[in-house]
Amino acid sequence: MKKLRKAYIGLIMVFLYAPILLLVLYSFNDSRSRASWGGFTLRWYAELFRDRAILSALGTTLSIGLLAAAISTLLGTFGAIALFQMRRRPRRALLSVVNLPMLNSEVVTGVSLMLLYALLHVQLGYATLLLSHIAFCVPYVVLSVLPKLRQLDPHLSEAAQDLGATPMQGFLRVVLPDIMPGVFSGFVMALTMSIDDFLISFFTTGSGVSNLSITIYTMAKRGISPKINALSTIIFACVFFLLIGLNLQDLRKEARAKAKVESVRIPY
Amino acid sequence: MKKNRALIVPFALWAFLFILVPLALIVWYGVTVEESVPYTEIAQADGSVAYRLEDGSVVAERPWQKRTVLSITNFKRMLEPTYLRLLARSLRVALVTTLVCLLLGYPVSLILTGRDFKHPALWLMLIILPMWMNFLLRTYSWMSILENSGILNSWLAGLREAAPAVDRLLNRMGIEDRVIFLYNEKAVVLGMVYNYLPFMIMPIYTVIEKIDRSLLEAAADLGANPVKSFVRVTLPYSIPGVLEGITMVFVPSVTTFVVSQLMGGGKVPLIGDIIQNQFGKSSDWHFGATLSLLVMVVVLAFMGTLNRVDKEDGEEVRIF
Repeated sequence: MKKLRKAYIGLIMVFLYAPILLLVLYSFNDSRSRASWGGFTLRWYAELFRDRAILSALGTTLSIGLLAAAISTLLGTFGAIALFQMRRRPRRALLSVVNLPMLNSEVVTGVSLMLLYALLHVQLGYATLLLSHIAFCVPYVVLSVLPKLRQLDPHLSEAAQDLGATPMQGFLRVVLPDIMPGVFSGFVMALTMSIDDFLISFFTTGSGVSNLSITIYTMAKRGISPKINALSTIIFACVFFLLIGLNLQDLRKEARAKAKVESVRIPY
Repeated sequence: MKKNRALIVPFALWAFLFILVPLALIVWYGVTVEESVPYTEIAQADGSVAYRLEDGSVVAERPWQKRTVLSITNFKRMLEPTYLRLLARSLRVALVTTLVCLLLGYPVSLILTGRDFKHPALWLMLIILPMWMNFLLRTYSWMSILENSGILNSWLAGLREAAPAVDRLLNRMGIEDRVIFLYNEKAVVLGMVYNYLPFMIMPIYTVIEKIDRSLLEAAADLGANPVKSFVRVTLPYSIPGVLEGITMVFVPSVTTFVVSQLMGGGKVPLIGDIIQNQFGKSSDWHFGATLSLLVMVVVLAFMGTLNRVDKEDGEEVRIF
């Protein structure tokens, strides 16, 4: 039974990773066609760094992702605090408005933002792309910070103020450290959503500003250049090793803590 | 914390401008159409033609202005069989996708939270990790596995050559030399399941992980076998996660247009494709907005029937 369960997880992993493995393989394939293997090469990696269009799309994706994640984390965190302090009824109302974009499909969100920019006569481009990404990221930040605020001990910040801290100090020293995990996971989530987004970007960018998703979408019709495979392999490898590294560190810490507990226990 | 009005105002303003106003715009565009300003031609004494507008004024040039008027034309158009069929197909694809994701994903969450794996968090991370590769690319990669001259077909051909018995068997089963995997509804479902499976696994995992182990132990102590304690303890407790997962898979799969364009090769258009068209090539924003409204209503109705647990005290949304 145990083997069966492990095999099932194994199969799911194969399903999830087969296309990714294939992309990595193609990035080393010395043939433009996807059908045949032309030998090992690194030339796509070399050409990638000379391809202006791809590099500028990468730049757009990264800068929009980081900016949108940072701004929406700020806005979302303060928004969550504001929501938390409101009375029940207005809070419910505002919270359901904030949740709307998550219930709505991305196409509708994208289209609705496009109509907003048309109404305001804003030229579609980098600014509208950034604003739209902020708009769809904020709800995720709010939703990951709110639970942390609920877990907060209200007496702590009162105690801080009794001990002479200004509200600002109380916030920075007491509240913020406690909600930090939520803020951080909100940031990571916003970054992930922004980097992977295609639908909303598709409707809200213009004037030649294009991120990776849009570049790939345009390419998909003519055939995707192996350079894109090379780029994705690099990105994927970075994220993979970063996350594995972080997780292993956690595991090691855990193991060390356990070892300590056990070493304490042994004398008994 | 001291109450701070200065925080509420900018946040509420933001929510108003970027959430409510855009939605109101969709409604407005959805219920209006653009039409030419009406006029009547009048012959002048000198033989030329002038145009009288509705307000009685007379102009020499043919009026070109457009005006926006309330109209149900687009709603009527939306109810044409073509669009209803598209909607039905979108719903079918989305429901099948959601069901397959649930059937594949629930066991994954269940197994990972069990005792088989030492580091379940690490495995969950591995499941989420593919989302860091652009989803268009992942879909595209599936195409190269499934296409007519793709990997699966070449493996199949190799197998036939190596083992004539297999070849005969496949022939008898009516399977042709080249199996066509792509460009049909099944391929679209496969692409969606692939892209949205992690969205199903994550919330279910989160809820099952939070179930108090002592409950399961108690059930076992009281004589319940594993199946019974699953049905009586784990399953009921995991329902909120299941509902969350269903929403997270269903909503994007009703309207996506990329997967259907790639895996369906344009042969399986969904409602999302038509919406995209209205805002692009055909450039009929009003009809596009009407269709968006339709999608919104369908999604909201779906969520309503799911009888969602109040979000107010809802789950923490996490990726890592």
